[in-house]
Amino acid sequence: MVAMDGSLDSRAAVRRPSRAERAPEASVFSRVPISVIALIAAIGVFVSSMGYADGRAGAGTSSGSGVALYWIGQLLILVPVAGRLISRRQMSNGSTITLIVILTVAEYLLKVNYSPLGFTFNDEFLHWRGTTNMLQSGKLFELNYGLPIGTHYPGIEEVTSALVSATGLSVFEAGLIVAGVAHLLYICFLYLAFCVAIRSHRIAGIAVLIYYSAPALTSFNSMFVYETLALAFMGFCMVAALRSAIEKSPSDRTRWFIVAVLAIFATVITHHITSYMLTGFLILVAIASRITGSRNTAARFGILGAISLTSIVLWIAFIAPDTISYFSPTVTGIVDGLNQLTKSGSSDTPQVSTSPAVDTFVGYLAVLLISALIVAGCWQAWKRHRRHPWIIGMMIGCLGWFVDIGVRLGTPDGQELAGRAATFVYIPVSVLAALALTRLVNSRPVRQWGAAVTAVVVASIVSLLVDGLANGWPPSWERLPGPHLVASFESSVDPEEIRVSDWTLANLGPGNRMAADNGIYPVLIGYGGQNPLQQIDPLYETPTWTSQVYGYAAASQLQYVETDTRLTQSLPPAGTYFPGDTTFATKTIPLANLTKYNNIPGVARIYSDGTITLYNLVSQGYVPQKP
Amino acid sequence: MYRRNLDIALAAVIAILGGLAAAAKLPGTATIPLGIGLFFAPGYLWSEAILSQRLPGIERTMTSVGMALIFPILGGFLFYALHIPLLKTAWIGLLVVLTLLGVVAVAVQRLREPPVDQRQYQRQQQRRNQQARRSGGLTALNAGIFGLAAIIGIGAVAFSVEKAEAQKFPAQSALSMAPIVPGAQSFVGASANSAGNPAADTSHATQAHLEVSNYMGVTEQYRVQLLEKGKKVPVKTWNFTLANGKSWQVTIAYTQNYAMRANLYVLPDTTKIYTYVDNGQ
Repeated sequence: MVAMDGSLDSRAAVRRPSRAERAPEASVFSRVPISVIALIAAIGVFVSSMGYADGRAGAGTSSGSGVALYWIGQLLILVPVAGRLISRRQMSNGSTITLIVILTVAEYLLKVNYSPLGFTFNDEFLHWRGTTNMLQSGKLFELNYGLPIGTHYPGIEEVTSALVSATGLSVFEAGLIVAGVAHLLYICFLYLAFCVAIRSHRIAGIAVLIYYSAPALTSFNSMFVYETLALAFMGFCMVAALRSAIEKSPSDRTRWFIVAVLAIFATVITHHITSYMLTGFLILVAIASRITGSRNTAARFGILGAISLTSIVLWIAFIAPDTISYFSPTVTGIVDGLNQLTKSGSSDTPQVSTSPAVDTFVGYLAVLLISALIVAGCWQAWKRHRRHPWIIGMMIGCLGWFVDIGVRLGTPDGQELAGRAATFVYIPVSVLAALALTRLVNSRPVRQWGAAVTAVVVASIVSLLVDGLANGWPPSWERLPGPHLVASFESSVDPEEIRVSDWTLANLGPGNRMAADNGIYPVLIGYGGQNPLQQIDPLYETPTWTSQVYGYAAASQLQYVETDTRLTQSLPPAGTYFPGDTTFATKTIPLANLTKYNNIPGVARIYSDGTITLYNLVSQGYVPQKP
Repeated sequence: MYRRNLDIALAAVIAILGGLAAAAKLPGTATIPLGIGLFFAPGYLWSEAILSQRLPGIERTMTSVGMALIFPILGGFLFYALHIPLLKTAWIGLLVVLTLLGVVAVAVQRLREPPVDQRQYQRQQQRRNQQARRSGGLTALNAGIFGLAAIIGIGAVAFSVEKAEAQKFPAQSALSMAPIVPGAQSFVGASANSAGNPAADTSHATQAHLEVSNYMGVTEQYRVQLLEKGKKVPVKTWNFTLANGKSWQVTIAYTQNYAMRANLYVLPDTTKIYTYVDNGQ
């Protein structure tokens, strides 16, 4: 069983976290060698990739066999890893971390295989543009139209630029390496942090497995985006901070402290939210250490928390003042939504879900299961580890889970916000859930039932992981890559959109203010270097060029309009046609609303491939204007 | 002593070779592995210098990689403060200098450490080997299975690349008439809210690029007719053949004083205009 007999100050006992545990009974997976699990996971990657290929062959997500192959592949990856980690059979630290690496690499390969020729996920385009700008101009804070706030957090662009410069790789190739390495590093550091703190590599392994049910983990957190890199630094800092508190020698403690400070600086420069969460984590453990009487640990974490907080304040004050205005609407929306939720018990927020009913059902089931595990984990923590600062800190952190549910139900964009917040909320949740689960699996009544109960537990955990995948990204309607879908993120990024974007940069130069649909919008920012605007739907709402439309275009200082005839043929699966639009489309756009630009005096039709057309509004006289 | 410092010598050599390969623009087969070595060398050396304790292999790797990712961020910020442009030479210089400083730091660190007792070191190694054997360490069979898994994983990526390249997209031909606006490429915006690229003011343009690109999947024959002042008789006609993926371009006189329009036909059909562009007059 797990021995966690006190505070982090009992250093001698915790210096080396890895301790093999007795395994009273075996289960189906327990005898399978790790190498065979790696082989099964690799086959799983191949099978899911065959599902992708089936989608690309023409049917997309409506290919039943493709979707089936995708999920069979996922089960081949998840079930053996989960089975082996949950199994009660003795496993070394090396084996546990190998399983975690296998899981992480397999899921990352699937992310790569979704779009192996170039970035297609929206946010990746923004960082592709940021990196390209940095490589061309040599400047650190070059304007990025798609992500103005990202300009002030250039960590991932710096790292990728350095790798591109050293190797000669393309930004896409270097980006895949940076994102992949950072993602793997984050998961490994998280495991290490759990090991150092919990002092059981078995519970740490199960905690990481449960953490994999966070919806954004295999998508947003492994994309070429700034959060992916910042998370690696956050994990690094967590490990270094814990080590700086528990190492025996003062010299070693100082060295780890230096590393923790370096990781804090890197996090602050790389990503705003992650740096705030890191600060929160450091302060939380400091408070928990104080409560549990571990003064040295409290002091170490308190100082690191103060350094982190000061770095953030200085960064915002001198480099990134936009951060405040960037977050203001989101924070206000969350607060208003939660206020309404607590007052009336329900929110006015329209609950719109494009997920199939089965995904929604699995989602609710997962919320119930995790909530139950948290309650059981809190009971375990209080009963057995109440003098353990990390565990108590995680117990307090679990309150975030219930706030996360509130955000999901009560705020605009709650689903997405809650999904993104889950990356951080799931850290304490997974620790507590792992405590509960380990206790459950090791309990006498459960042991009497042997492998059958283990199988039920494995099935439950795999269903949690499947929920994370099903309700993460990409959404169900683009689970597989396939034919073009209108105004629909990755499914709209075809060679045509890339060609048009390249054309705009080559012929019009960068930074032009454009109106475009959701499909080409991120590609125009990325490859085109353009400045496409949000909330431009009035330009597409009328069949004629009215004074209102003229006034809107003039007020927006619009230079170019993009139209796509496919918008007249089908509704967008994502719900809206245009960026910034909040009203879900219920009918297709009439063709006349797009073709009206053919007949406006002074509006030049400068590019057309029969589907996408670009119009130049400059001669209307309102561009260029001085800011 | 020689073996003990082999790692820092190797790191230094890789970094210098990597720097030279990148600077000399050698082929990718040389630049990529050496460049990756150059990228990660500072992380390895400085994690050795700062932590200087015998971490287990996996932790040592993780801290090395973590440090390797931190250095370009902090180094880039330092360069920004020193007004040094972050161009290719600066990044390579930063990595090489960090590596060489790391070599010195590790060397000094190791000189200050008491020498390792060789017999004790051998005993430690034996103990580790025994532990590895007991915990079912990497046997030849296991290594072979891991290798097979790696091959299948890489094969899955290659398979996806091939399928993505073979994916069919709708056939298209693109026609454009872009007024030539000198200075458009050099525009740098001040903020996302400021006015757009001023070079987009095409009212004074005197020339334009007329361009056709073939994305039909096969070689096609095209006709482009240039019409002016609203007349139905073209002032110019071009007939040409384009292989798939290729473009055709001419520079024409451009004005906004009268109507200009270019029609694109995909031959042999000369009755149906495939698409057109105009100057908006």
